[in-house]
Amino acid sequence: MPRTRTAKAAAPSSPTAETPKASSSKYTLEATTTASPKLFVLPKAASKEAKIVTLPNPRTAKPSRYLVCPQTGFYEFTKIAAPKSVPRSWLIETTSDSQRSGQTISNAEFFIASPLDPVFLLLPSLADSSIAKGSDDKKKLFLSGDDYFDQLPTEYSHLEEILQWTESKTVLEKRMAAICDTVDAGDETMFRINREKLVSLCLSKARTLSGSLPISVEKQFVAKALQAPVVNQRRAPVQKSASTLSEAPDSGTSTPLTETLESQSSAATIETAATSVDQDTVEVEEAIKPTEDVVELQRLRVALDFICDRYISPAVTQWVKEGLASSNVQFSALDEYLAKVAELRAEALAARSLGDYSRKHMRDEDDDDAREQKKRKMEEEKRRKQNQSRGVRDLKKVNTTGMMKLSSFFQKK
Amino acid sequence: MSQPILSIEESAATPCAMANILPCRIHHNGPVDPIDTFWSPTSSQDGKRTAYFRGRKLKAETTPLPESYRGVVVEQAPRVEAPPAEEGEKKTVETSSLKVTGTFEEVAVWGHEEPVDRESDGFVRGVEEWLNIADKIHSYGPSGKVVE
Repeated sequence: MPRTRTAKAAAPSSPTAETPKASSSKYTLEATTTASPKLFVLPKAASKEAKIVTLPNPRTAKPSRYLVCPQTGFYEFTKIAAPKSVPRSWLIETTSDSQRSGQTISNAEFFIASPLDPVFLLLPSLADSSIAKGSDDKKKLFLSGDDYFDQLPTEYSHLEEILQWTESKTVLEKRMAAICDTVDAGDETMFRINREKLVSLCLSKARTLSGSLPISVEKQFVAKALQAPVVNQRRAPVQKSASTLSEAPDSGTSTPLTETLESQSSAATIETAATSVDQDTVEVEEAIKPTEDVVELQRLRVALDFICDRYISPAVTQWVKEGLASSNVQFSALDEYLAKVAELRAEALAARSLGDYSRKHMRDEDDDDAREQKKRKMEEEKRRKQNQSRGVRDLKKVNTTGMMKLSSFFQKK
Repeated sequence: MSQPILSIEESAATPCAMANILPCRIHHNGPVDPIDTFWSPTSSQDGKRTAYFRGRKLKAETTPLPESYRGVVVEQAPRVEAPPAEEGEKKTVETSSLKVTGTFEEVAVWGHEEPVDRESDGFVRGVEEWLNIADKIHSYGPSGKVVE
């Protein structure tokens, strides 16, 4: 990562802003603004009345920021930022009346407001009591929408204000009806959560998502998860014979020597052949290939897991998964396949680590002793050098040829 | 900490902006005028942009925001002191506003010498992939059914 000079150059510039006298620069930089501007990506559909509010996060119940538009619904904010280790900053050029001006923001981050199905916001309070009571749906009472709204965490929440906007309240209740059984009681509708409806809603969302997973997700979570290990078992024995042979010459008599030479060379050729095979056929030599159905199921599962992990609390996720078992979507084909892959992987790993172990062990015995000794010698020398005074070190360079030895002064005359 | 309800205020004559993500850290927030003296990117025919910043060559491909989205640069307006609650019990909710100082339609993520890899860069993926996914997950029709 090239470290630019920017950091150094920018540092003196901020004091410049505070003490313009000391500056010899042609332009003076305006003082850093205290509240830095922020960048948002907002849906065009959101109207002018849309407000940024705080609501409990459906998964963590912590207060989070959402954009609520009375006409078009709810939007969640996602912060997009580079990791701290990667230097990035905003430079915003604005052009008005053919005049360009610019400003910088040191944190390159922006917030994207993407649509949010309010069903997730309501789920904690809807599913809460059902989970507590277990699977016995019958005993669960029908409650009005307001009762459910009251059960949501209220800490810093602006839900109360949102419910005063009639349009938003209607949207919330409509979405509530999508996963609930409803009963009309007078002029009010009463709700009770229905697990089958919730599961089928999650599934249909997952199905839409699985149809268009981004390439990066597809690579990482679908292709990689389903990839079986490469079948390649020739390598380990070859390695072993080569390393045992290299030890043989010391102890052997003259006759085996020629033999070892021969077999060594042949082993070497085999080995290179094996490695080249290894590199070329990684893609081809898979033990089993997933069928199209299995891939499709894996996609669906990835999508479903993503939705659950992001919007549904762990307890409710558990509850949904239990409901999933009795739904018409069966993951058994996928599970079978994955178990097979895991088995093959374990086998391959065992084989490989055995090979690695023997190889490493042999090399250790050869090299490590020599290396250790060398290292020790170097260290000793270094220590000796450090202990010498500078005077002694300098005197070493003096040309002493023709001078009398120091000891000669102490001899008896 | 309790946060205020924010409204977004936008005047009709909001200037158009170009949002650049530079591959360096600038320890400064605020105006850096005159910008012409150090920032004059040129775009070539294949849509790539080149600029020289402090002697370093930067290249970028612009990432347009999806059709139904727009970017805004906002500044927080100074907080308005909420009038003291008149009816004893009813608590007032803090409100504040964000002032839109610029709008943008595309983001340029700059890289040293070469444009950034679009498949691995978080900013590009955030715009392109995340919005697409979010639309898929959260769309619902008036009937309550998910739009297929």
